[in-house]
Amino acid sequence: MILRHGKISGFVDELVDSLLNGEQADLLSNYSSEVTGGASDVDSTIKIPIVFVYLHEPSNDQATSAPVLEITPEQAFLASQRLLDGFNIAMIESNIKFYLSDKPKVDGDIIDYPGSILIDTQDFTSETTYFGLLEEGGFGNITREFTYYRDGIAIGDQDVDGNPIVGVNKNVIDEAVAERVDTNNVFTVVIANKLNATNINDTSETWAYMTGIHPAVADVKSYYTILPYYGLREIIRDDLGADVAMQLGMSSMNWYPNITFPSEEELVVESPQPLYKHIIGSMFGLLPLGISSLELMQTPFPEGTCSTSGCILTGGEGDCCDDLPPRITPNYFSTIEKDIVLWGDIDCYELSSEEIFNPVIANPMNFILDSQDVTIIFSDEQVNIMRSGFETNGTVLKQMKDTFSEYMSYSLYSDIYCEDYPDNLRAVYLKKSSSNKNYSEESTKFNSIKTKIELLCNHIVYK
Amino acid sequence: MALDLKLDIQTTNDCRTLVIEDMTGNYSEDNLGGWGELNHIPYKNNTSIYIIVKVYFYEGEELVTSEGVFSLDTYQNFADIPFEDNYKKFKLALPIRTLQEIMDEIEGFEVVEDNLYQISIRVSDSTDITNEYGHKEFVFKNTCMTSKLVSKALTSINLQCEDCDDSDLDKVLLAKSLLESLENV
Repeated sequence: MILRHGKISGFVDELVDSLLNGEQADLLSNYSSEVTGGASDVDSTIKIPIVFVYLHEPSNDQATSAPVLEITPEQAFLASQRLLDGFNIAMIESNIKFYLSDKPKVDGDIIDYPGSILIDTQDFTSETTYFGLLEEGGFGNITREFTYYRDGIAIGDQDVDGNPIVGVNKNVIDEAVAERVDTNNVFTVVIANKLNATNINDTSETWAYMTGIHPAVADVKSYYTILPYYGLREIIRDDLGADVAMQLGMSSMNWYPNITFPSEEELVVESPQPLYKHIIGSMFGLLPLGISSLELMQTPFPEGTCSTSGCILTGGEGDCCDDLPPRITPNYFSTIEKDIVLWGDIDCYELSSEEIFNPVIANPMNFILDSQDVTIIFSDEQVNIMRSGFETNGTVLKQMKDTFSEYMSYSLYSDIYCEDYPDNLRAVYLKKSSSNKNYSEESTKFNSIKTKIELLCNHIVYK
Repeated sequence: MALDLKLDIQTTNDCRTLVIEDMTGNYSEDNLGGWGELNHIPYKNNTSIYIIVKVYFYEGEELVTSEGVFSLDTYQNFADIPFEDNYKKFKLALPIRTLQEIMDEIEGFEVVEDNLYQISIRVSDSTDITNEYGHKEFVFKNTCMTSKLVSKALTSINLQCEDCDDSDLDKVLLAKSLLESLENV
């Protein structure tokens, strides 16, 4: 992956990277053509397993300049349940429903806390060699070792000028996640500390908010999304523990010294739904917010566009939906934008000249809708695009839907399966034995004789 | 005659797996309750077969039960199904770990412990589970571990000595006799 914009949206960078790769561009184009052709029956619930993977540092020797982030399994499970609720509310109009998976690898063990995996990151390191200015003078190859704890995750291999990005190579995270989750079968959300976008020769730090890939390239790139801890709502941080909330606050000051995060009170919008819709929508085949034409996306200062003509995946300039223009805000971490509607069936937003010439950046956390959160919904066309992906042969989404039961223990799955049946039916049929005969008396006699035999034999065998 | 389902139930030699095998057989003059002819044929595309396992066991002084339902469709990785299109002669092998996934109460079992097992089979329409073609209940008295213990006790007795304690022999013979009665409870 090549970092094109240097900041903010890994979704956009990943998409542009794929569009510039001939093979991946074909995959994107084919996917777009297939899913926009068919209509989906929104009455049927699409069930998808989900797992939240928490990267933390329970025992890190490097913990000298910043606090260690340690999360217990119980805290992670609590947060996962709340995130699950949020994700499902965000997808309600699409009738796509997530369920916490307790068997995230088909041949693996059942995990103790469904939908929750903790990964210790203390060994996450990688080396990068690049051509640069040597300390002793002159130019030559320089090798630097990065750690997850100190440097975060490099959001790309290199920027648009070919400079490496600071941070642990994302392949390290890919491998750690793949060891624990079948990511093409279980929707995977990795919660991490930071996505680094800083050029290796640049002293000013830049950070991305989240990242993920389009489902069309799931077999080429690792199909999961990364959401930083600081993107979580305060209530979820509290679930993770008061100390964690404090640590994250302190960490953000260390890692983002030049950024002032708006508090939740300042955000006005109380719902995290725009954020969740952005993440899930992007992972389910909608184009990420802030996309414009491929040409514009490659310029040093990429412009946003309000064109709805065509679809960027097939050479056009639109977002592949007829009725939804791309939206931009001038700065991801900027102060709150007013009156911006990002997801919805609306006319093209009139961009100011200032915004047009700013990098294409979208910040779901900056939505302001005067408390009208309910208006932030997917359009019918967007719902259709997402759902069609689950009904198109060969897609990662259809694979997730079709293998749903394999990623749940039977007891968990039977409960989910029975959701669709009346209580009396499931209770009578699935759990009750075929007769009311009770074998308690026989069992008591059986046990009594068994105990006598054990006493007799143990006396001989173990004397 | 209606479908007369027959099962053979046993454990593996290491007592760690419960094995349930269909012995219903095909319909014939000698087997009017067999599969086919006037009775249902368990085609995979229209039939669901559920095995319901219920175990009675003691936790301290208290008799408790644990029950789990195993669908052949869901547990096909644990089943040997000789025919491509139907479930005849299926053999379902459920390791103790798999049983524990469904039956939380037996999480402390290290093997398929010796207890009384009430095992039922239900055959129904896969699109309408209330449309039942047949069901039957069996009682399996598992003596796998106890049998091994008695065998071990028998081989532990030294019959060659001159001053052997005959009481040991009496005890193990009594145990062997009790084992037989255990199987006939």
